[in-house]
Amino acid sequence: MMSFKKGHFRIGEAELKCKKGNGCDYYGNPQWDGFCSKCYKDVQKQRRINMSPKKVQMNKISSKQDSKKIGLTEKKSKLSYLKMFNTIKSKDEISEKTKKDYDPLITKQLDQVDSEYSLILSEPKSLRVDLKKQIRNFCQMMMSHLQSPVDIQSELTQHFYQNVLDMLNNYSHEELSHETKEQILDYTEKYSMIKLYKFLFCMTLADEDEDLGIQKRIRQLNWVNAKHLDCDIDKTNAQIIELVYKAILELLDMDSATAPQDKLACVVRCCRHIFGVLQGGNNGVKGPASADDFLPVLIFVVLKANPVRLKSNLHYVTRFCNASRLMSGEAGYYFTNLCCAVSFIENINAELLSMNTEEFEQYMSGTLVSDTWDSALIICEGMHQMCEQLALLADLKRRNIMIVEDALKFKKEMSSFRENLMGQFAVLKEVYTIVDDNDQIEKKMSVSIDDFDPLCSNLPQWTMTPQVVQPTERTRTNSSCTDGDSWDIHSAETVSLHSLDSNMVPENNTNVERILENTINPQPHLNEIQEISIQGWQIPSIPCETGGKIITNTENNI
Amino acid sequence: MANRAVPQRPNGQTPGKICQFKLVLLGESSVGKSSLVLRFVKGQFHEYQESTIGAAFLTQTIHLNDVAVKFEIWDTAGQERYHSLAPMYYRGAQAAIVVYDITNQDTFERAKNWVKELQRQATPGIVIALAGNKLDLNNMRSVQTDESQTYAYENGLLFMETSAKTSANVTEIFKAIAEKLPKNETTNAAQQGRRLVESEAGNKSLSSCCK
Repeated sequence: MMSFKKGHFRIGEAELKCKKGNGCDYYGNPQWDGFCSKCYKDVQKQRRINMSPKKVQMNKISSKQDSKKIGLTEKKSKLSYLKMFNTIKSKDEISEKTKKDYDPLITKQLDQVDSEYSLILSEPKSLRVDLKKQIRNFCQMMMSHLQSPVDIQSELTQHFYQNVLDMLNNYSHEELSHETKEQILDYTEKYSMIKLYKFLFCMTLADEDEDLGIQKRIRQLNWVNAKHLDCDIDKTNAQIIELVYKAILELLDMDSATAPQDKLACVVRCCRHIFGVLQGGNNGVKGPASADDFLPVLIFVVLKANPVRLKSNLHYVTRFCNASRLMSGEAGYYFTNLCCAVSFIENINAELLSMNTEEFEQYMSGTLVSDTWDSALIICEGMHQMCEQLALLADLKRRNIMIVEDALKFKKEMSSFRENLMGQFAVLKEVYTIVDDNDQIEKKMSVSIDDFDPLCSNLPQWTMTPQVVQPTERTRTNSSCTDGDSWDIHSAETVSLHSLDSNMVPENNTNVERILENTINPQPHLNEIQEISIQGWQIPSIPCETGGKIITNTENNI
Repeated sequence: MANRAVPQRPNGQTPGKICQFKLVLLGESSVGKSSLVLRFVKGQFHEYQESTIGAAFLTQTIHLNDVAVKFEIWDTAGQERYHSLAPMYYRGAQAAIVVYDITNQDTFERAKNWVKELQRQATPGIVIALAGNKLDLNNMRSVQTDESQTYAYENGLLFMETSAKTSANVTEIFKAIAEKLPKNETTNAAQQGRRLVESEAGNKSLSSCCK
């Protein structure tokens, strides 16, 4: 089959890996106790070493059994054409198997079932005990009947279900509701079947042969397409294709389920998907699909899925599922349909596909090759993937454009901010040039102090010195103006630093204004400057910062 | 819907209250089997509810006196090519409706074959009803009522002419079947199981004999 996305199987990869776990990344094999070949060899060696001399004899026996086992498997293939032996696997092999593995996987599954039904079973405690006892007895009985013909095994199982039902019906303590009984029956069936699955599923050569037969048959029929079966599948609709895949997946999943009802549930889900396919078709009124439409699509799905051990699965369900479930109910109906589909596939011929015999023979022998659905499906799959990826790309592209746009916007903002800033500085410079013009000595001094500032702006001692120097210049009238200017910048900066103390601003502003009353006209500029310095206080290259600080002191002095 | 609450399986039924029966629908593909069932189950024709995804398997309960009769209706594929599969469907069924189209003589002939087959191979005591569908197309009729009436009488069948479109006689035919079905029957799961296994074994010879 082709690769399916969203495939989910009940067996995780970790369970298939070599049992040794850490370090060994190879896959294990049940024949080697779940180890990979290398680890198994190691384990065998270990075992041989650990074996005490007393046990050597036993070891010999078991190795004898091993050789017997090998012989049997060889024989098995030889016997396959002699269908007279219904049950094949020898008692030795089976009993060995039982002793050997208490598979952790099975225990896990059983625990799951237990917890799933714990609510229903919790009520009458004696019931739970009785039930467990019944199940245990049944399992023991089945183990002793492993060599009986499957029909007898099946009969025993059905009898067991009936017994449990009788027990529930005659349950003295309290009247159990119908629903509860059903669920208890479900539990019983699930629990015992998971436990016995290994020994009941696909145990006869006949089953194996049938599996291989139907598989080969379906492979031969790979040229059959939807048209041959008159089914209405819209191959071009991605949604429909998706549903067909889902149906196929569910059908394939049937093999990995263990309990009969889980297998049935797979069939039901598969069939529901098929109804989805039928409803999405583009043919006339789309109402609920009837069996006339349904069966062909189911046959088609079975043909395209070609599930492994199909016949074994069907036999297993018919034999060991509670018979009443198969005779009625939705699951029973769908299962019957599946059986019909398989039976149809087995008997398919030219007439049934409404084509002439010659053509059919040619197709079957492979001389005629049609555009099979497989190839169509592959193309559709490709198309589908392409569509999905295109959609993904489109989304990525959209996002990319958004990012680029945002980036551009941001860039623009940045540049406008920069321009703004530069403009403000230009204005600021102008203000300064005026000051410079008025008092060059002052400027020179401030510049010379500028140079020192980065190193020692934080030193309080340094700030003290100007205090001594300043009084001599106190007489200059205009110095107060510059003092005021720079002081304001400084205050604005401190405001932005402690932006939370915003009430500081108006206070300072009034201060400034009061001070600036006697200056010429820098007031409009001042407001602007204040804004800039609020925004750009982080920018270290603002020349007036230092000036501000120095002059602050002078202001203080005033 | 009332029948949703009703348990699904026949075993363990509450005695005297709910009886569940499996009913198969047989008939050629265009005679309106599924329309008939949909009319019966949903009271609809053509305008389907979104929730109904398939008309292949439906259940409906009707009340007769104090007994609730629950029908589990199994639709079958009517195409000729699937004819040989029919035994798998009607295995274990307690009732069957064989549908034909009153405007199409061929479908009536097919219906006769179905009846014959049912009487030969289905569960002994199966209640068979013959339904001449598309009564609303009375003016295009090609199968006369008398003809099918006589045929039904001779073979011990229930007979009604129905119309899924106008819903004439639809509920009536199901009611008639319900009345004829033995209400005190206790379906035995073990018996069914044996029957299932047997027919499983006999399946192959059956399909080969149909060839």
